[in-house]
Amino acid sequence: MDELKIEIKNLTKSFMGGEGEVKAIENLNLSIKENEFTVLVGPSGCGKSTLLYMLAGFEKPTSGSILLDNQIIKGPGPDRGFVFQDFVLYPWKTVVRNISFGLEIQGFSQKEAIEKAKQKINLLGLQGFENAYPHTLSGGMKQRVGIARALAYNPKVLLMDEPFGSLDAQTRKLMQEELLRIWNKEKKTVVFVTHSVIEAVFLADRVVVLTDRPSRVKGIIDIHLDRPRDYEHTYTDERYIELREKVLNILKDEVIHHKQHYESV
Amino acid sequence: MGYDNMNKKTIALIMSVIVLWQLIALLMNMKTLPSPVSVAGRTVELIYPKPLLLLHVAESTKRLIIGYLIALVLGLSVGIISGLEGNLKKIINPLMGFMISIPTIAWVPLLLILVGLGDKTIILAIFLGGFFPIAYNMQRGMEIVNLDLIRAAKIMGLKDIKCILHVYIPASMPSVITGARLGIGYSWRALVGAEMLAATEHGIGFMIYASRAFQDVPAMFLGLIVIGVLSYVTDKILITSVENKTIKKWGMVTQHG
Ligand SMILES: Nc1ncnc2c1ncn2[C@@H]1O[C@H](COP(=O)(O)OP(=O)(O)O)[C@@H](O)[C@H]1O
Ligand SMILES: [Mg+2]
Repeated sequence: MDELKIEIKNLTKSFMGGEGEVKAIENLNLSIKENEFTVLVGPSGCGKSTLLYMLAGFEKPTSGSILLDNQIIKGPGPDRGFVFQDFVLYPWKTVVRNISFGLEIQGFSQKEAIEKAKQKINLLGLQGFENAYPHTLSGGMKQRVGIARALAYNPKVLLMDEPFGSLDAQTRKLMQEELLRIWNKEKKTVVFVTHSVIEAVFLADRVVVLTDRPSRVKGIIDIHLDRPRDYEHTYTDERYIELREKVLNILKDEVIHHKQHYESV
Repeated sequence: MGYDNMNKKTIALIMSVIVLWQLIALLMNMKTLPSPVSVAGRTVELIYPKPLLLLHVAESTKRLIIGYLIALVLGLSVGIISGLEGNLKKIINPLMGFMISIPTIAWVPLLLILVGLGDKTIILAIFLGGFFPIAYNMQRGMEIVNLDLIRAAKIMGLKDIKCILHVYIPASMPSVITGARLGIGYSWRALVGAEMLAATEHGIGFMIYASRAFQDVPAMFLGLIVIGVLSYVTDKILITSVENKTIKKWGMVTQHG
């Protein structure tokens, strides 16, 4: 558990845009332990997705480095899984083929891949939807497929970019509980991005608060709440409420004018 | 609203147009406007005892399919490669823009000199008609693929080349269909024009043009109708069926009404 998994050192990322250089991230340092559930919160547009994209290997740092298992991340690879806010499923593949795709890429035969994918179908409660096409599913079901797809080939690290951001409040709470149940079963190092403090504190081992652009680490709050957690109990836990206040207070200076936004589920 | 209902309405509309046409032809009593009955009579003559009309149709269809398939294969290939390779796109797009603005029929006199009378010229014209819309739409389709679809595949370990087959091409199917549909329309037009100038014996365009010498106006009308029907049928068989099995089924197009 205390094994160091990800090490971000002096990370800087800037984009060249129409109005010159935009510094999204500047001198960011962060270490993440194996099987830890880390949640990144920060103002909208501060660089959370950019950071996650660099962890995924989709984008390259401008300077500094990211180590995964002591190796510099050179590009995307199947030691990681990625869950997108707007699902990004393959519309031309059925649910089961979306999930088995990663296994087929790893070299499993189609039959084996589908067999293995079925386990994730069960884990995510997608039974009965195996042969449905994504456009026929609700948002919540789509993201279940998105998570199953990312888990199917058994990556060690799960990167999630506001995965529940486009779901309604009810579905969102349900999915948060589901995610914790799954994470408890399949231990993974999770890096989860959100702008909801309620969500962050509910899920995390550690909440990392980022500053406004250019983003650096503003504070790290350990969330020593009992697991397993569920809304019924955790929600009314005084420590949970205190921790939420604590995170909000650190965020507040960054986003005074947007407080309500960050208090939504 | 039911599909059957729609079909019934379409048939009713066509029937009323034919009845109206017959009435006008009877009232005007003109040699130049043949009635539906005389067109039908001419149709029978052209099928029995000698199935001349069917020969025209078969010849045109054969040319169309050959020319169009070449346009499809080359158009999609050029579109895929230039859609992925920005430098190539910079070179060929001005050329494509130039070529796309030239009506295909304008090529035919030149082709007649370079290639001569007959099938080769006609098929080349069909190819020129279909190629540019197919290539252009395929290229656009490649460019507008959601990058996250590619990223999702790459993090699962998919390599660049395989990405083209497994992600880029299916993701750009709406553009493939649009290009294929425009392309077949342009190919038909090119076919009819080219057959008027370059065919030696058969073909719908040839039939229409040759009918002029005999003042055979019913045959001309018949030719127009056959072109309309054939292009409708080829679209249904080649394009709409693929569309229904792909992007409609996958929900990649919004279906209104
Ligand atoms: N590919 C890009 N090109 C230019 N600017 C970008 C690009 N990606 C992100 N940015 C900019 O970097 C900043 C951080 O973006 P992002 O990481 O998406 O923020 P967040 O996910 O925290 O809302 C924003 O100002 C955004 O406009
Ligand atoms: Mg973001």
